[in-house]
Amino acid sequence: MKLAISLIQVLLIVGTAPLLRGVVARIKARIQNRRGASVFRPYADLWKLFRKEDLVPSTASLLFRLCPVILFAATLMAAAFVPVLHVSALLGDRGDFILLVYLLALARFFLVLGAMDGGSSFGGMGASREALVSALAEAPLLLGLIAIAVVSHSASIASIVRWAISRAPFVLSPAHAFACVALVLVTIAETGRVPVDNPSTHLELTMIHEAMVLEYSGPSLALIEWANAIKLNLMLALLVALFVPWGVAATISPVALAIALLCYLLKIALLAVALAALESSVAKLRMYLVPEYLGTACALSVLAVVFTAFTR
Amino acid sequence: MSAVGTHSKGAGGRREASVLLAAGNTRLVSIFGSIDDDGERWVHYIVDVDSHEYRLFSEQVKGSIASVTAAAPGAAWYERELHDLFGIEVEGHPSLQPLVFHESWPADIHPRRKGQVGGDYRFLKVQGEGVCEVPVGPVHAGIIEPGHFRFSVVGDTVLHLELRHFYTHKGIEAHFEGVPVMSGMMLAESVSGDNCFAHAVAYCQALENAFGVSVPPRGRALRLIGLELERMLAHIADVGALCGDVAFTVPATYTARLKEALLQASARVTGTRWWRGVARPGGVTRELAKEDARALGSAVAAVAHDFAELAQMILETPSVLNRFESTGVLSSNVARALGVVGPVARASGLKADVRRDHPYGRYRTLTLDVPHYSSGDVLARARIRMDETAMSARLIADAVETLPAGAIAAAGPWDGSAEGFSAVESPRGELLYFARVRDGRIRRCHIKSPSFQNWPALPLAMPGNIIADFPLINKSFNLSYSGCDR
Repeated sequence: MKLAISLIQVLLIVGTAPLLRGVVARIKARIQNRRGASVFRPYADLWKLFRKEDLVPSTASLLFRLCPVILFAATLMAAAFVPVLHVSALLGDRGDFILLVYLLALARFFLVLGAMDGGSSFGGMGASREALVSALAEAPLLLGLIAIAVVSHSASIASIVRWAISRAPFVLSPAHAFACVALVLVTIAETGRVPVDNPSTHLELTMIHEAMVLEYSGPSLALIEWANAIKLNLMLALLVALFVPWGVAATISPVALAIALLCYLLKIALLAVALAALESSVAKLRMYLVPEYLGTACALSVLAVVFTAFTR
Repeated sequence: MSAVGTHSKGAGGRREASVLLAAGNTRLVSIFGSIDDDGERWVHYIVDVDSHEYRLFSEQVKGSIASVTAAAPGAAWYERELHDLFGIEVEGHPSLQPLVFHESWPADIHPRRKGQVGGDYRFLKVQGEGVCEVPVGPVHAGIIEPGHFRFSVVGDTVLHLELRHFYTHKGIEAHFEGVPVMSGMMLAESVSGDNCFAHAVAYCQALENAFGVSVPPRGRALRLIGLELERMLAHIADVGALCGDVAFTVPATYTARLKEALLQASARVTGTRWWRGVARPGGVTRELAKEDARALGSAVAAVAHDFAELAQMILETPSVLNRFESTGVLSSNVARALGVVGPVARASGLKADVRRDHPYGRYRTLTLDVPHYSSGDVLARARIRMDETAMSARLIADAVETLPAGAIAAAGPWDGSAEGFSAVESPRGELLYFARVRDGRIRRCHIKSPSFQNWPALPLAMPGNIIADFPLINKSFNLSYSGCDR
């Protein structure tokens, strides 16, 4: 039963990932006074891409086809660490948050590698920018998670959540506050959203993520796009699990699980609205201000670590 | 003809032009070639003196001509085009490489005359540690016109940018030859789609000057309404596109709605969204009824009001200002040397505006206060467009209110032989048509497009900027590929 719940959690993150993208796009359209495409459009896009021919540049090696698969697999595995409905995620007790961070890094490494293997100058440009962003985002991500791990005396995501729901709702440490803001900033950078990257641009010179996938087509592109959507969903789920886990089921009972599902969907929906509102109200940063932006995240996460000393 | 300028023909035309261009109070408007009735090649120079008088100098080409690029750097592209199309050797040109033709073009074919042309095209090689070349285009990720950009960069910083355009060279000037005078407007409207009315009016004015026909006051007022409406459409779209480029999506979609409101208002009163088929030599083809004029006026006023609020909101958003300010600076010295025109010139401290400097039509009776900024960055180019949109709305409101009665077009003798030229201020700047007519048909039509003039300035606004800002800087110039390549 527990295994079934765990599997359902992973499927939930993976399965609703395209929907989340569709919802964010739809809310952005409404803010712009447009009707917008259906929230299920990303599923149709994936379906279309999976049935298309996979074109490989003549200069590319085997790596080019392999990278999207590794990217998808690593992202899928990372998704298995995040508790959504029940405190025990599929791999929640088998690995700590450091493994989670490095699974995401592995996924990104192969995405960058594939982009460079494609041989176009835009792939290389996007790859170098992605490497810069991720190198700078890694420190605040790790430090933020370390702060929370120290406060909750645990390194596994599942036991962090167990510790948090054992406490009164919304009574967390100052370290949590700093870590939360830092991780929100990191999430925006990591998932390529405005103001760090623009997921809907057609200007190849300004792209980060989109430049890396310009050479991809068909099923490979579908895997990359899906993995990217999963990453957004999993980062938001991680934020929910770390900072507002209340509602998640501690026991396996139908009622508790139903409540947990409702709470989860509500929280993700609120985050989607917040993300769309943020993306609609600011312009994209100048490329050379992105390090400053991530520097802010880093400073906040350092503060979070410092404040763990004052938290008992 | 005094209103449009003087024309001196003779052996010393080129020298006179180059002496004038070396002086400080002049600006090169255009250089073009033609072939006369005896099959001889001529070269023509149009020079703007003191920003108030156009002078046309013509000289028959014997052997080769001497370059004027040293005196007027803006002549570089014109002389390369002369070399490509007419096979005229230009001595002393700093880099007489093919401009219109690409590598696949046969070496000894000049569409306007046979001659000799140089070999392959070579991009300037920037050397040094860490310098690499980034080729962009002519096929782009989005649906835009084709153009090739070759960046030399160190990291993300651009050291040098070289343009390779003319993928959309359609030989429109050659197509004009033999076209009856009264059918040329359709060709003119197809040169640059979003400036089609300005092109048609410039074409008509060149013929009106050639034949000495005067447009009745009502026709002039209607032309002004069309021209200013076109300017509003272009500027509103440009401001929206600038916001879109920095992922500030709300104003980007909002401007699309405003633009559509103007297009629909146009369609309701003229039957055409872009005023196609409205201009004709002698005046216009469509009457504007009183209630239609009022409806158009109120639609324009509503759009101008909404746009002013939107512009205010954009200028008050720090993240947008951060992207626009000090990005892509075009200094006024460079702008002046290259004879840059239009909003780009006015954002770099030059006060050039054909409507004020060489007034035509209804503008002769108006006193215009042309907005200008001196910072020369993306922000200045955005603000110019915001200010001019408001100004255009005021001009339209005034024209609609005081619409003169009478005929909308003058009949003219269009079947003789004559030649003349005239300029209008298109949304992109000075647009000049030169037309030579023989027995009611166009013999030679030269189009000086503002984009041809301004493209060479774009690379000079790039050095020191990061390559990721290029799309934004390019959009702030918003030059036409089709209008440039013709």
